[in-house]
Amino acid sequence: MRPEGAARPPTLAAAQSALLSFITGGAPATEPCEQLIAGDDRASAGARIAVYAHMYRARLAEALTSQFPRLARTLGPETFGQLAARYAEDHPSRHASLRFLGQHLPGWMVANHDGAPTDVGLAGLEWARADIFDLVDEPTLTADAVRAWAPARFAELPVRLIEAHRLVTVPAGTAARWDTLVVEGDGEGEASGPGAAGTAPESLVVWREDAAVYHRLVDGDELLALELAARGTAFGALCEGLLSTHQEADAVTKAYGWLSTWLGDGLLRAA
Amino acid sequence: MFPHLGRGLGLRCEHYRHVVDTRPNVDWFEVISENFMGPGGNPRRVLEAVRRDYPVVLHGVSLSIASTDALDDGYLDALASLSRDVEPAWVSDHLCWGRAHGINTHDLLPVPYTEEALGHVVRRVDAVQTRLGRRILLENPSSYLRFRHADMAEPVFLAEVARRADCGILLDVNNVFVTAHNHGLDPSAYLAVLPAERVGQIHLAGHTIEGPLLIDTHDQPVRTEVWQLYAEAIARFGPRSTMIEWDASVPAFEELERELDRAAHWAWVGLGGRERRHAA
Repeated sequence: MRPEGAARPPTLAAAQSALLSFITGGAPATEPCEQLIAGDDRASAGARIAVYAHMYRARLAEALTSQFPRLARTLGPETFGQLAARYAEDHPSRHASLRFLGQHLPGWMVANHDGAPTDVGLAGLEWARADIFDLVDEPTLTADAVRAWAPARFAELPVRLIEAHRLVTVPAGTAARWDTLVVEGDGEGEASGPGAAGTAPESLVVWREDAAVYHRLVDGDELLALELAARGTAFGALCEGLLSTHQEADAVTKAYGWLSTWLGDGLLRAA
Repeated sequence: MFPHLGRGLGLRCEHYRHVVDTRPNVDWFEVISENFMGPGGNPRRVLEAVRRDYPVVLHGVSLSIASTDALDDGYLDALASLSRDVEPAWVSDHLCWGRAHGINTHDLLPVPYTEEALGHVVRRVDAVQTRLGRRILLENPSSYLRFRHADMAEPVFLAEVARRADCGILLDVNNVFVTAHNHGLDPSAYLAVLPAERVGQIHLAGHTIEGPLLIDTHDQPVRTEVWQLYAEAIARFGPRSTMIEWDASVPAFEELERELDRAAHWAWVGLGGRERRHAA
């Protein structure tokens, strides 16, 4: 029986709430820690809680480093660790898997990061790459399948991007910055293509083929076409989309060029 | 209650290609469930390839069985789907909580071992087992703190959960050693409380000494004291499916195979063989 006047023990929910706040909220005051957690000669209650608090921060920083390796390389471990901690305060993980931890980082950095614009761009590009690594595998459209399509009905050829793709627009110079940064686990290196001149934002298509993730720069016309293809369209509609700015022959030539490139990239879902 | 699979390893991405290409002489693999819940990509492709050649066990870190948050339906759906696809020998997670107020710490936080917590965990294990249509195993976590108001020892709590919920126990021998050290307990006494018939699998791993505390880091070989405790566990429970966890500073696959050889040796010691110097 509890001695008269003794404090009522916390409920399970109250104990979990308190420990969660100790772990995620920085250095807690000594007294509340000692009321909840038993210290001894080996370690105080605060020191024991600090083990979990340290692991919490380290685990989130490690996960974000794996999702944003080039951003982490650019900022260095100390600055990136501080950024990760501030981000986790605003966006604690609400998913059972750490795989989604970084999904808000690019947008959060726009308002909360004072560094170079390409830092935010790197975050956007790296999240796009990380976000597609485990999306569904789909059969892709092949050149043979396109050649077998009846020429008279070629305008009806379905053009739809695979699910494992992203279209991102990032500050100028991001793709070139990505190319200059090499991180552990990289393959033979991969160029994004020539960067856009000037300071205008640049757009990229990011996609996965088998286990490998790729990206390349696209111009404004191709971005619009890719946005159309992402929703699912037909080859004829791609051509029509160009008619306001191109002669018909040029439009068809350009659309054929994209089709050829996208087939080679493995960007198109099988019809 | 659970089949004896022999000696297994945790499948880690550093070894995906080696395992798929060379089909090493390992009896079975354990995979972290959450790493394979995506619908496609390389993880699922590797898992399918490995499953064709080996028994596989699903081991989760995010069930949060002791949390007072509601069970995560999306997570359970994904786990049930993965379980249907993989047909694992069994599914396991930890006796812990990691989520509260919707926030995931992605840690294995200790439970206050009270009657209230016991009833709560038993009800949730029952719900999970019903949802998955199979008995699960719960692993004893390593712990660095204990709650003042706890009125039960961890092994008593674990044994009672297993009995009342009719689930299995994944005995992490390194965690027993770490927890016992950190709280000044006797690891042998810990083992003595556990019901042998519920122990379906054993984990082994390396830990780090951080001042007065031991930290379960999974970044180095199993220490001699833990091997000795493993032999004691085998002597008490009999041969059990045993696997090595190595999650940080992951070495070459051959080093893990040598750890499995050591496990075979110490199991032999536990079953009555005399200790001999192991040829690494």
